[in-house]
Order: sequence, then C-alpha cells, then structure tokens
Amino acid sequence: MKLIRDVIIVLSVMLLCVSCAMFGKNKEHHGFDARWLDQCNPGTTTAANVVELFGAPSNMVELSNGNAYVYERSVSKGTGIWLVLVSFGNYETQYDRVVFFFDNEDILTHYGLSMHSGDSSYGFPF
Amino acid sequence: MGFRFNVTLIFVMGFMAGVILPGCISYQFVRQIRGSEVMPPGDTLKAGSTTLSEVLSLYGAPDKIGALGDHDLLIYKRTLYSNSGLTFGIPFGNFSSVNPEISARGGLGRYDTLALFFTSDRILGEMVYTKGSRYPYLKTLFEEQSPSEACIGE
Repeated sequence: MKLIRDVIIVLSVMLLCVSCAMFGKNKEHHGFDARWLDQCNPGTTTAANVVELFGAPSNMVELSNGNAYVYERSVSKGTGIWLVLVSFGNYETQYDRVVFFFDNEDILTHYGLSMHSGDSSYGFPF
Repeated sequence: MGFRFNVTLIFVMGFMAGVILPGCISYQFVRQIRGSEVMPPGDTLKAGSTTLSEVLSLYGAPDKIGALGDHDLLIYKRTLYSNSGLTFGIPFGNFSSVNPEISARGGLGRYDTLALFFTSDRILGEMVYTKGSRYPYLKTLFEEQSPSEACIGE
C-alpha cells in the first residue's frame, strides 16, 4: 500500500517536472487615438482631414455611394499548457477599429468606432 | 536494504513514466477566438427604418465592408476555431530514428455573423444573423452533413 502511495507521489512529481506553460502576446500596431475623433465632424470633415489626422488607412473600400476608410489594430494573447498526457492552448485576438464613411465628394458622413483590443485575455480554452 | 531498493525502484519507475508517457499517448485541445461578441439584432434593428448612424452607435465599426451593386454590406463577425488531436506513439526517438506514431486530428470553425445590407441612402434594407457558436464542438465535428442541408441553396 505504501509502495502504491509512493509511486503516485513520484509520478505526480514527474508530471510536474515534464509540464510547462507558455504565454505570448502579439500586436499589430497602428498609432491612432480614439480621442482624435473629437476633431471629426460629419458634414464638414473631408477625407484629406482624416488622413492628416489618422495617417494612411489600413484598408479603403469603394461603396455604392462613396468610400470607406478603415483603421485597424489588434492585440492577440496566447496561453499554452503542456501536461504529461494533455495539452491545452488558447489564442484570442481582439481589434480596435475606426471606419469612416465618405460620400462621393469625400465629405465625412458617418464613422464607427470599436475598441476591443483591451478585452483580449490569457486563459484556458474551456 | 529493502527500503533503499523500494525507493530506487520507485524513482526508476517514475523517471521511466515521465520519459515514456508523454510520447505514448497525448490529447491536445486548442481554441482560437477572433473578434468580440456579436449581439443578435432582436428588435433593435428594423429593416426599412434603421439608419447607418444607429447601427454604428449600437455595434461600432464593422469587421468588413463591401458594395453589392447599389447596396452596401456591413458584416460583424466573431470567429471561434477549435482544434483537437489524439496521438498514440512509441517514443523511440531518443534511441533511434524510428518513431512510430498515429494521430487523429479535427478542427471546427464556427462563426457568429451579423450581415446588414444598406441602401445607397444608408437605410437598413435587409439583415441576417447567424450564431454558429451555438453548435456543440464534438457533435458538430463528427456529424455528417445531410445532402438536404448541403443543397439548401439550389
């Protein structure tokens, strides 16, 4: 009985010794600030004004009645745990994104903002 | 002497288990999430009356934008990708170049998607919402797709 107990203890120690964990973080950076949107007014701000403030967009899309400029950045966080018989991984990517809608005269009509990169987290996949 | 023999035996067994077990059988599960949760539209959005401004204030910036003829398409999407694998092997790798192994792997991508179609004057025309994450991982992965589901668009 004592032998079995000792075997379990030793196996548990060995399990801990061969386990490992990993944490990682990746960022796709674009240096825009949501506070700059205070200077953007639909109806008056032009596409040139937006580019001057925010820099080159990540993407530009032609729409049925104008264009859209997309500014995007992301944060990814990864967690990995390797045990003796099982291993788990979790990888989460969240985005900050601003989309500007312009009419055919390149005047800002709407904009949308999502700031979720701070919600990216380490964790288990369950 | 008996005590010393038992301790030695236990350490040898423990060492062997630590070396051999990780190579013999292992299970891996990886989950990847991309994007934030997409709220179902419910009664908040109404085709024919909801404007682009209202959608942007409710949902924020869309994940994808595109033009379809005289309509614009906004897509809000969250991707949930799950991958698992089961591996059986004989860890001869430390001793020889032969390292027999058999493994089974599967992956499943599920999408929560809200697609909004706007007219050129930026009024919501149509909308579609799909919550793919409601499908259970293992059941969906192993379930065979029936021909009637596969041909639903015909």
